[in-house]
Amino acid sequence: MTKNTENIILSHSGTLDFDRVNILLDKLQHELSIYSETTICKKRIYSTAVEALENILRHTGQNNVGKLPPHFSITKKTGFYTIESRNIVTKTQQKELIKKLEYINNNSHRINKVFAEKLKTSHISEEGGAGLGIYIIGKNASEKISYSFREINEKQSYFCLKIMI
Amino acid sequence: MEIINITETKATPSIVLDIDSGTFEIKGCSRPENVREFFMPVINWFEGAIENADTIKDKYSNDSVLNFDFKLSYFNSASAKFILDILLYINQLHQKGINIKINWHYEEGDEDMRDVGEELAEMVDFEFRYNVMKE
Repeated sequence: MTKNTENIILSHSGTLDFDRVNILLDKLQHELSIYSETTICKKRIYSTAVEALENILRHTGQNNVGKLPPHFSITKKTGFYTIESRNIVTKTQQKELIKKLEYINNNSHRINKVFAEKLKTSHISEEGGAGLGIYIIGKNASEKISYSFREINEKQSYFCLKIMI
Repeated sequence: MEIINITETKATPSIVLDIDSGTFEIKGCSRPENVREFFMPVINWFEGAIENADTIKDKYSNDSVLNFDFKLSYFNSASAKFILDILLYINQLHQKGINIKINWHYEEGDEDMRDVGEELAEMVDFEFRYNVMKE
């Protein structure tokens, strides 16, 4: 493998359900077992994958995917693993995500404290999440989290998240 | 008190809560499809334990220790909220005079899991004992 080769470890496009997430995570664990990375690196990739996939899973039912289906991938290139997820969000969710992501990126030096603060005050939502997944992703990330929103219409955007580990 | 005995699956941990045998163990991976539904029997069990704290105290005080063992290989963010709740209940039992130890087990090389244990210990103001699980 040359230094600039990009290895696709996992890639999925299309709607997700819990069974499909299980299949993808099983595949990821199998793929990671082949790589000679540290336990901590493999655990961070797995943890980030779970939170990103669960985020897609929770929002898939709320938004009509149309021509922009959810996408999830993990690639390896030049010593970094890149985890990307894309899914439709509402403009309200977009505002909340920007606020959280900016806060995480500006507080990456104290992300463990930030997570502890949020854990103490969070509540489980009707969708079954605690809104903490993005903070766990922040804990796992080696670099600041990259993100973008592509406008679909006045109510929805296509959210793209990129995490380096 | 009733015994909680939940079998481990790929996405949910095994949970055993048994006052009589003194077994309290959560083991495996925790990312349930419905986190509230999964943990609610456990939360209800702890609420019952708080109500029966005097009876439990008769059995576990002074030299007799009630060990709570957390042997989690992974837990997701929603599970973290319930694990914190469980730890807060354990602390309440401890404050009622029950002799309790919390044993936080983590896989060899998984320092993040140990760090999470330390963060949770600080949050609930309870000193954990740490143990490396070897494969």
